[in-house]
Amino acid sequence: MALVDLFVAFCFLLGIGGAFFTAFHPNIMYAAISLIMTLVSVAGLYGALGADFLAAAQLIIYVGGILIVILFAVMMSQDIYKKRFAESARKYILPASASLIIFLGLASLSRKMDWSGSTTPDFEPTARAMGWALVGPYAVPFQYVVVVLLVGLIGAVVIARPAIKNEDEGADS
Amino acid sequence: MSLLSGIATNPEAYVLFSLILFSFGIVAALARKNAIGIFMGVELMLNAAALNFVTFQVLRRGVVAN
Repeated sequence: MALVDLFVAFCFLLGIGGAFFTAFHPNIMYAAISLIMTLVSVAGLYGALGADFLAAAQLIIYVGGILIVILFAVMMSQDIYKKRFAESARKYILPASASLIIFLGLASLSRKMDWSGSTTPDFEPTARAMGWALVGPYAVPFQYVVVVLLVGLIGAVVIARPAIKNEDEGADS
Repeated sequence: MSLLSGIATNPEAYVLFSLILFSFGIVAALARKNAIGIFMGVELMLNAAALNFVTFQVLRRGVVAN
């Protein structure tokens, strides 16, 4: 039993536990913190699969960026430590049964599949090849994504701009 | 402990793990009332899908490249 097996099993346990508490913890603060656990474990699995750039991007973008924003949004709310969103167990019956049906169907499908082959990674750095692909064959889609992100930024500014200006200046714009 | 040996190179383990993540994401996205909770559920489902992408890329690397 290699060390990487132990690492992957630990990541599985951490991820499943974090996902469980993300779904079922009544306090949204602790749900967000356990979502951090799940995202970190997924980053570890990316590393175990040999996707080094993706592991780093997962840590930087998800754990470092999006989840900090979520935690800020949660902590801006009042009395968040005391608040329990009165989620009765009855409310979980329909979503849990729906997801259980999906889980059982997909799990039986994956039992039927022929899983020959292994996911042994070749630990070559992928960042260099991705960089060359972004400036080479995928240069035009990359620029397209840049334009879409710019449109999103401008749209966010336009939506978030206060509407007080209109009342001051009259009917222009 | 023999259950764990070879789990790092077993593609079915990764797929089952991301399936579990996806199921919990569905529960969180459907059962939570507030927008941040729903967003966290969607986040779980997206992560499960991305992990599946990486798993199948590593599994089928030799098949596609040649």
